[in-house]
Amino acid sequence: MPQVTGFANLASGLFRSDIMKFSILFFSALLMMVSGTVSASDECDARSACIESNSWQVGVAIGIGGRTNPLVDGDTIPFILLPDIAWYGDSAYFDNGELGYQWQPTSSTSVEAFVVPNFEKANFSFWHVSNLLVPAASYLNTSSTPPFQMIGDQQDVEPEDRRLSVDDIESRKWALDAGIRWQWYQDNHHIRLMLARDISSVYDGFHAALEYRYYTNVGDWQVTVAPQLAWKSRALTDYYYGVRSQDAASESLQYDANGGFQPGISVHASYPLTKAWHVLTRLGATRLHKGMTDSPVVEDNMVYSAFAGVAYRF
Amino acid sequence: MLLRTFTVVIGLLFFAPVYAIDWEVKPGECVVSAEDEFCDARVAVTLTSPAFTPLSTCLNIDEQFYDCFTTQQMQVDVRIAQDMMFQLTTRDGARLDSFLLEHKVIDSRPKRRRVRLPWSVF
Repeated sequence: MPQVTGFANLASGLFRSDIMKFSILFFSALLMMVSGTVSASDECDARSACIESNSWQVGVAIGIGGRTNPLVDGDTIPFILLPDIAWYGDSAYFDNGELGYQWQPTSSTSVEAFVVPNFEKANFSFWHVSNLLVPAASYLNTSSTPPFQMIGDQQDVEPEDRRLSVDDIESRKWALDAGIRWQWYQDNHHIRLMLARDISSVYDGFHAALEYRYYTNVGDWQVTVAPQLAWKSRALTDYYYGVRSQDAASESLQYDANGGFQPGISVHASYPLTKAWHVLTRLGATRLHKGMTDSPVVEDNMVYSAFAGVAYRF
Repeated sequence: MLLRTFTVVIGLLFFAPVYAIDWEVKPGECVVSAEDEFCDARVAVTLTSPAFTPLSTCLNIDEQFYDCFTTQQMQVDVRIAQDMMFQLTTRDGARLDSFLLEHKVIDSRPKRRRVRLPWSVF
């Protein structure tokens, strides 16, 4: 078990308590009440991606890009074709995999409850052709010494020796989350606060995110800058990135993962070519928390994503 | 009391209209259901005030000289794809009054903000 030190770990420890979970809900409710006093001055416009009620938006973007995979032997998830499928009714909606219900959205706030697949599993699923080609490798070091024999006390093991390929651990499952999100809009500013929980009994944990978006125009480019702070519970982190006896025979490789905070930022820019065609670019970076990066199956402490292409709206 | 009376008189001097303006533009607006729709209309500009004599009054549309009145009414064929400004002027260009003919977009269905950014599967 890694030592719990520093503010981030202290905070992640606090989040393990039910008190903190309820604090999040209370904080959300408080912000919603405060938002009721904000004047509704801004209307839905193209910058914040609007859709008419009771209609579909279907589009596809083609280009080049990908999302790095922090797992040992994890291949980058390629972005070649990005679909965009959304339907919005009077209150219910479906938006790129998220099914939800919005309560009385105003021009400045909205609250929605939703269910959405948890995409943590994507790190374990995409494009692992090496699963088929390398059937039984356990360690990544090139030593000819059998790996389990060289490991005694965990403290004596070199970090490189503790790496464990994603191809050699038990498969992780997809999970379905249910959550609630509060959003606040004012002119070019947009704040989102989300709390979600596993409802599929896969990891039995929570995750939350606080995101700020700033919309602006640079010439004809519509630009969105979005810093974000995500929190992932111990249960979520441990299910996906912990190492159990089913994953590794050696106790020295087994690992209980802690929850923690993951700061990140993304920049989105689109340029209208015609009414239907847009140039679309995206860049993103997320720093993973220590409870995840200390795992033997994780080798990177950052996840980067990028995409550049053209998008067509049908 | 004297100061108050003086203030009222000064106020009247500043705000009293020079002309008793009375004219009308019909139709007064163009209502469409989408931003890229427009109206092709024959707009009638009518001088109804005795203060205006046709021979002394002209019409500008969007800051451009259009024509001078020869009768009490002038008809103008226009395509209204955006707001248009109608201005009455004297023959020497002095502005008398103006009217904004609005290009109004009435959404048949209310718009909602999407909760996710487009093309954001992850």
